[in-house]
Amino acid sequence: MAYPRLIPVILLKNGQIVRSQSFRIHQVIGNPIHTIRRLGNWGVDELVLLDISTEDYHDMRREDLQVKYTGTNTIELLRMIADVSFMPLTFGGRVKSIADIKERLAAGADKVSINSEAFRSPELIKNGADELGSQCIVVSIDARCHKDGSYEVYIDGGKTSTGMSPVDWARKAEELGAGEIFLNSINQDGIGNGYDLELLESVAGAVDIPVIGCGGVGKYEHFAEGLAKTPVDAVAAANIFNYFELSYPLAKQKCIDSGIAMRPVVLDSPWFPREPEYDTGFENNLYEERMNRATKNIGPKSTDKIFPPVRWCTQCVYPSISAAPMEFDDDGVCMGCRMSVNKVDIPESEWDVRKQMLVDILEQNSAKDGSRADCIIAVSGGKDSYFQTHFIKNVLGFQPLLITYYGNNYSEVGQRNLLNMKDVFGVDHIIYQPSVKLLKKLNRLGFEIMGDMNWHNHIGICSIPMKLATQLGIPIVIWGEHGYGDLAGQFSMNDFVEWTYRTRLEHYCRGYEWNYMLDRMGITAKDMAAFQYPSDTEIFRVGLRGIHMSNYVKWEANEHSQLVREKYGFEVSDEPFDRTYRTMSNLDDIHENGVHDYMKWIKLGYGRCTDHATKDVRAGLMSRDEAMQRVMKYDHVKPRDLKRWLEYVDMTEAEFDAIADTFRDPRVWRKESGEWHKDVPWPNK
Amino acid sequence: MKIVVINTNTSNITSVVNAFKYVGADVLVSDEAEVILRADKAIIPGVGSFSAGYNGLVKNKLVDTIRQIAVKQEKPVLGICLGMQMLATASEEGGDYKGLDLIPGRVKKLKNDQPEYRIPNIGWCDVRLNRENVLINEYDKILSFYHIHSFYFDCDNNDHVVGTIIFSGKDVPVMVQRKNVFGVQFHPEKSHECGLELLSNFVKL
Repeated sequence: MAYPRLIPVILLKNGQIVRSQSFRIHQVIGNPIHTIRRLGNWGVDELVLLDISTEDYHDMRREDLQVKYTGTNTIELLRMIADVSFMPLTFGGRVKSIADIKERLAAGADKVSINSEAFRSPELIKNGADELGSQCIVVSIDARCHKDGSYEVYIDGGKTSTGMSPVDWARKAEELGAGEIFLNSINQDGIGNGYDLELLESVAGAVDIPVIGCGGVGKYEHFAEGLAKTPVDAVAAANIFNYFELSYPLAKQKCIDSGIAMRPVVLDSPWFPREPEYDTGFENNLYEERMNRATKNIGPKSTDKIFPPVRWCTQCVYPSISAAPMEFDDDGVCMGCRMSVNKVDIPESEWDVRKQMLVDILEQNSAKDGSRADCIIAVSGGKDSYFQTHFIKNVLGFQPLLITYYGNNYSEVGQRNLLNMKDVFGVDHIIYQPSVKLLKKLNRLGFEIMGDMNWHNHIGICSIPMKLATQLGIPIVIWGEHGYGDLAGQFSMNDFVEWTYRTRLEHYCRGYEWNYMLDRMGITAKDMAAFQYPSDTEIFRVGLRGIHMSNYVKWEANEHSQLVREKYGFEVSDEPFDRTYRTMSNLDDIHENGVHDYMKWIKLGYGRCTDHATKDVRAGLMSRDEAMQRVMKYDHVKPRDLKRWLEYVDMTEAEFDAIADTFRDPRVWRKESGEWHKDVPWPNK
Repeated sequence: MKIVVINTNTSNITSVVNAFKYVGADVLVSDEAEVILRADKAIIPGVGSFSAGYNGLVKNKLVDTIRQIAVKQEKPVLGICLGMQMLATASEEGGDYKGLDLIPGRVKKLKNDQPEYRIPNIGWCDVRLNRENVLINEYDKILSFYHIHSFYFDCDNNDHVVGTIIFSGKDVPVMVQRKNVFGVQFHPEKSHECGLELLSNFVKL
């Protein structure tokens, strides 16, 4: 018999992967190519792609990402996916005719799933099956459970009721020639407490064709439950596969461990390397083209793609074209604000439960024989590092090992804070200092290639703690906040999202893995050893997890700052930053709030002050008007640390400006009589 | 070394071509006799109904071409899914249709008398090998491949059956071979590393 299948579902909206809740809230997770490649690494049984876009534009949000695609619609995306993945693909969304089905099959789908249109015009199922074969026609059913316990099929993304029961509709679809049913529960979507077993049981028991159950998975155990307790042939989920490292192999292992026979887990297949393979010729051309534009001082390439105009959240000051992937709801409120409200709503009693979850994780993974530290904390020496170490060591009583990537840009205050940690906390501290010669090269390359001199910092911070964790056999690495979760509301507080290779590659490294730098300015693989991530096999062996403390402990930066100053002598900056009013953040790197952040302004038209003001508006510490005034004052400022950086890498300011201008996002910036201009949020108010 | 994917106008051609490219093959798609006959190896892809697939070959005058490259030129030919079924003498799908008759046997509907089996048979099935063969190196290892089919190839001569799956208590042939003519019921182009390994072995023949 065919093995039961474990199927990840990718929800796509305007070209990006989104997280869905109750069919209404959609948070942007990121670029589909990285995620699908990653799922390919693990040999997933099958992949379901559902396009839930209602508009025609595609927006990858950032022009400084390495993985770009030229496509403007989902079919082109599907083609790109089919180039690199050799797994069964089911593609659904916006299918209205036989021509639509054929187009998707020709682009690389094996099966096409039809939802609303199948209900409206059932002959589409029949004609599709007759012409193309039943095997490629999947009927997708969204079912809602009413208060009286009855079930009803809804169409149009859960908006339109049909009066028909899912069992009746599934039987009819089978008669018409459907080859498979994809069954989703609207009530359970994004809730995370398991499948609607009654729904799965009733539909899978009523038809002879295979049924895929979906909706409600929040833990790996839920997959096995769906397979063991109902006659479905496959279990599917979307959200969970976006949250955890090795999510698919671990979920499958859980099923296998519970006694369900499945295809074995695949890790590090030689056919599917995890690290991207770069087309060096193509990449070199891009680089030379950029340098040419810089020499001629002509700014960025223009775009002929059509995008919706930049918009701003109606509550905070965050823009739609941003470094963090941002989504807005129907009221124009950003997901960052929405999620921060949810965070405030979490009662103290629940924080107690969350704290206990953290204790349990640490306890299970602690060093019982005393041969190592209990966990690693990745520290920069900043306020969050102090708070984390305070909490793990002095509140919870575990023994952490501190690990730091030293990027050689510390401020004097930041350096003092860093070196004091071992003394004030009484813990061991490994500070990894890469060669300064290498760092200078990486600063320059990062700036010229992706407009970010601090790329080395992002990838270094991501790599060293995880690499040493696998080598030292310490299974837990603790991080502070989930940056995008906090700023852009990328996840729900109930997702307990953890560290993943995908996040590392896509967000921190912008798609530029360590091997991108090979042979540039004479850099070798050995030079880049510190920036190489542990293999999937090593991560699996150690059971390595990178957890974000902000999921378990109430995170209020201003309060934490106060606490660590009073208790541990943490020092804040003695002089204000040029580009923001906050003095307590980013002391580990003088360029982080300086030229690095200035590049964000050049690229996307906003800067650190917008980030800080946004957080303070959400925390109720500042009005939106006040925030706007701060943004006006700080976001555009060219910072003084530029001078140090130019000397560090041996570049002139004119060269810097010309290269920087090539990164201006044409959706944000336009040149008028020799000056760069952009829209501002105030008229929008 | 050129591999031609014979254009049967069915939907999975892109996937098949992508997979061959990925394993490093020099691959092209064609429905012209002279191009096909000049290639070193041929692939017959296909999904959908037998009659539609076979009629497509007839319409494009490809039946003789395929027989020529397989029998006269004795070049390696690989049929995938419906492409494998078309290698048979005849098929019972939707009536009684003639096939390429490169491997004697009939294509029949899967029979199901156990409730846990469903038709179409969709998913990953372990393939048991009857004998050593050139497409799968590890004779002793059981590998899973992605299947999606309602019909199967019932070979007249058991010697032509290379690999089987168990369906509803019976052994069902899913890998067949007669001399230089190969057929797989499953989709190697959709079977991750197991499939790529198989295609790569075919390329190396």
